[in-house]
Amino acid sequence: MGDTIRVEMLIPEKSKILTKFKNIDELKQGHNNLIICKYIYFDEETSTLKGINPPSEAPIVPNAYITVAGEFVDVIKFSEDLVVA
Amino acid sequence: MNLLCIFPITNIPENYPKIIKNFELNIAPSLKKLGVDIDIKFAGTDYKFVSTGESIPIGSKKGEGILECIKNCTSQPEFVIMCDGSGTIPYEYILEVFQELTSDSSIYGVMANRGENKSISEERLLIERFEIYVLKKHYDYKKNIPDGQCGLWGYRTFNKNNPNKKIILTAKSYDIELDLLGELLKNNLNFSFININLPPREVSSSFTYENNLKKMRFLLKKYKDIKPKLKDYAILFETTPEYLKIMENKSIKVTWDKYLKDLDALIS
Repeated sequence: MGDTIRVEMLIPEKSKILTKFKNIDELKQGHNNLIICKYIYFDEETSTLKGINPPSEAPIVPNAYITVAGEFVDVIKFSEDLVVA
Repeated sequence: MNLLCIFPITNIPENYPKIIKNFELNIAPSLKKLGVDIDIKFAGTDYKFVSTGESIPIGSKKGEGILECIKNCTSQPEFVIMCDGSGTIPYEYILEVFQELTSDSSIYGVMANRGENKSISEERLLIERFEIYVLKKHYDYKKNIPDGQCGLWGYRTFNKNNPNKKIILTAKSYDIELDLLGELLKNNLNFSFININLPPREVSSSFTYENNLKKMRFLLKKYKDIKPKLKDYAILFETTPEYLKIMENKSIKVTWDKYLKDLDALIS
């Protein structure tokens, strides 16, 4: 091992990613070199936390935690999408 | 080897790419040579810890959820290193912490020693030193502890020789460093320091006077037999050279007196 890292990050309010992708499926297509390991978000409709082994249709929402794995260059590119717009 | 690096960033997303880039350039190359498997987690949000049947690494502040972070790693980390994500501490020192941790299998904890420049106010420094003094006295630890409250440290999650004597951190916030030191002393585990030089502080701290009291509440809760001795420890501390040295700045006495009054309220 050595070429990839796993990073867990919070999706902040007003993050660029919120307008760039609607759901995990779109995010996977936009960052197709990354593995989305885990996604935990609060589903307001059911008032429950959902996630883990992310379903494709899960919406990208603020205050969700996302864990990605991949090459540094791809993880950095992804993290730049999390910066507040 | 599996390494978990945790960066409390108090919800500053701009720091994500900065830290990961720094990791790639200055830290990962050396770790890769050792075949280290790296997990990076960012902590420090207002999100409340919630469980959905599985333990989830969501914390509200620095330190919260460390146990959950470990549980949720793909592979159980053998080492955990935490480094403040504010940028005050150069991230490259993570490598030195890791090298020190792995240099000797009898070392269970490594903490940074900020030397003369602690990059905090003298009032905060005085109280930090008192907290360390309390733990030293409590465990009758004779050696010098030059620091122990810097936001850069690491530890082994296993004790192969004695599985019952391992470090379990439960602190939720700024008390996490005291939690680590307490666990090391309680379990009689070896620890060491690496010297670091901090640049002039460029970012403000979220630490407030009230955090001092929260830290002491944590110590009194975790080590219940400290409570009846706390006043004696304070009196003894006032005779130490480091107290006298810091107190050369007489304006600090106001804060110290207030702190002692607040401690009285805590133990009454």
